[in-house]
Amino acid sequence: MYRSHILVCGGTGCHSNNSANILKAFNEELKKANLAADVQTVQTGCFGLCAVGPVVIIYPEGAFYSCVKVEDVPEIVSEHLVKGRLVERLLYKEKATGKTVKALSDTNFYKKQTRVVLRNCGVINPENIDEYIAMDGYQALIKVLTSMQPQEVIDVVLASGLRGRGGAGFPTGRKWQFTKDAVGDVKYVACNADEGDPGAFMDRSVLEGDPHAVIEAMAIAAYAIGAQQGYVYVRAEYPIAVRRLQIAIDQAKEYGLLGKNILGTGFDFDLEIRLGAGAFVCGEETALMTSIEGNRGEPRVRPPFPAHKGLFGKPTVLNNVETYANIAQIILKGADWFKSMGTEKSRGTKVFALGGKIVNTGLVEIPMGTTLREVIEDIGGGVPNGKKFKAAQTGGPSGGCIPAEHFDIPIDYDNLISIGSMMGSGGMIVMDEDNCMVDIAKFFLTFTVDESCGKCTPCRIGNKRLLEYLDKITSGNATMQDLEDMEKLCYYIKENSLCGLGQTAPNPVLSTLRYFRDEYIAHIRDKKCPAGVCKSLLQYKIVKDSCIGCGACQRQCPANAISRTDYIAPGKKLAAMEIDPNKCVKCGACMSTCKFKAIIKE
Amino acid sequence: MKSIADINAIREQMRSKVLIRDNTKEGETHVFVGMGTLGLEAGAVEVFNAFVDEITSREIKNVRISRSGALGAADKQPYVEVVLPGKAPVAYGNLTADTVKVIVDKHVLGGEPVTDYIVK
Repeated sequence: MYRSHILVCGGTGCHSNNSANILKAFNEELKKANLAADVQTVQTGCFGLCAVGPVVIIYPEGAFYSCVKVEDVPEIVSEHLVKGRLVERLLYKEKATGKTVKALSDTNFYKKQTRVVLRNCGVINPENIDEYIAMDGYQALIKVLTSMQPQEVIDVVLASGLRGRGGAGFPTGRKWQFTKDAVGDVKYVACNADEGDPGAFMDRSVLEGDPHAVIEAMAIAAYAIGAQQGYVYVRAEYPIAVRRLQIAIDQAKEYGLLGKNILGTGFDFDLEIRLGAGAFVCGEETALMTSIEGNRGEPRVRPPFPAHKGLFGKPTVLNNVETYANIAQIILKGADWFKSMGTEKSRGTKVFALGGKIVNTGLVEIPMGTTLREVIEDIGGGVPNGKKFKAAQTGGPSGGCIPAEHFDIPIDYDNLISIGSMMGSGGMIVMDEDNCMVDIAKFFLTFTVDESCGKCTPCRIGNKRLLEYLDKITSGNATMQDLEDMEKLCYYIKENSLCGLGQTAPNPVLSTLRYFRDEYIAHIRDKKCPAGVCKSLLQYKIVKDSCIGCGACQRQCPANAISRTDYIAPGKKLAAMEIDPNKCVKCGACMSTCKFKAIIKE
Repeated sequence: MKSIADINAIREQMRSKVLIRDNTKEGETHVFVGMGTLGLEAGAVEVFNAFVDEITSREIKNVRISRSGALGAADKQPYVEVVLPGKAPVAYGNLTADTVKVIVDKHVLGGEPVTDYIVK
């Protein structure tokens, strides 16, 4: 009987910060201290607070240790586990208040969250099916197989109001109903785990932290629509997620929770993993299914929708990881419970991956209807270094930005669309005053141009031309006419592209134009980048009266662009330096070297 | 291959084992067990274990047990403080694994401090 549990985060973030060796070190130290029989070590999925990883939590105290190193392990064992003294220097300090907090549930980061999808992430060992079962795992599948008709299952999902968490927000229950009603002897369920948005890691963390939740939900979906085979399409770039999912599938098969005659109920369902080959477009549903079939991952025209003609031409339900992760809870706790969270048209919770200029980089789950302010200031801890919040980008390359003026908007599907962004799969990238919005639009568009499959012309050529306009603007060569033409092109691409990738690719441009048109105009008319990002529009200058002539900048300059003048500023001993704008490569090395703030960029 | 009964048996058996990882407790009772050198010598580990076993085996929620540094006078070890939500801490001394059960029953669950073991 273990009286203490040491939970070490094994999510990708902490894993790359050496958490596997921390776990090993704990096991060795516990052996040395003769505590191996009393203390259990557990590798879990993501706790969410990636910014202060590697994270270790010790129960029963619930002590939250952050930024733990292998060298800290002996101290934690001898002080905390043997002598009962918390290792205060490692306890997670609430950065906002400077107060030392102990329990996870007491921190601002967790207080405002509601964990439904992530309920087991950071709590159980994802590689141990018994721990999932302990948390009521597979109870929903048992309930469905023993006491519900397929139609009843669909009715519950419909009544819950659950909408697809992959981005578009289509009601999940309706998708299931269409597939159930579709004519066909063979049907499939598939899971979209091809999460490719820059800065998004929600689905990855669910697969790494609670893979059985997805397996159980897919089995339930299969029962509801009448399928016997399922596929999880997951990115090959997610090695830990793939490995844990495979372990989970193997364990479920061993327990008879997958395969023939599941739990003796006569229901058959098998599940296989398909690895994505690294193309963003394969996250689009028709391209994804084409790829599972073994063909080149290119989208096709809809309709027919997957519910009628999906995988191998058969009716198919395709949901995203997070959508599935809600299902078992809805079956167990009922549609009314799920409906009690969120807003009128967006029920339940949503997981966001917080990134960019924010203190608490990490994974958060909030009830729909939480305001952007609560997410960024209360949970995310605000923008670091005293900088001002400028905008948050949601929905990745398909989405748009939410400026500070919409800080108090409740986050749900329809509100985000009304302000020109979208929910997307849940990446949320925070930007501060140092980010140039034209540059941000360029960043996302460069991504979509790279990832366009090339099948349809509006996306292949249109987005390329769009990117050229942006290049022209950021290099100071654009005219106001270009801006007008560019905007027209955006709408043309949106209306004429074949799949979601092309149809949404201009969104980052349109939404930055909507809220930050003045920045575009500053680039075009004044040839200035207000945030000081676009290199072609920048000039580094030395303020001669502040320069003491030490020459440090000259030694740093890689382009020999800095030379000495014959002007000696009042009160200084040496002649001031100056930058030759024709030679300057705008690397900024001089500016970061100067201790006298004599170099400015404008 | 397992049956539904097998899965339910695993659930029953595993549930108490993961119970102490519950981090969503509200209005919880705190139990602090002093683990100073004298406490350890007098059997603080056994008392701590007994508390954890009582709480987990009976699936009592809203109770957090914490190890603590040295607490209480030298002749009162092992020494424990029980803090009910909104109440002043109650200190117990000279505890054994057997007396823990009484404290859990009467004080932690019943809300009535066990005067026999209270120390000042």
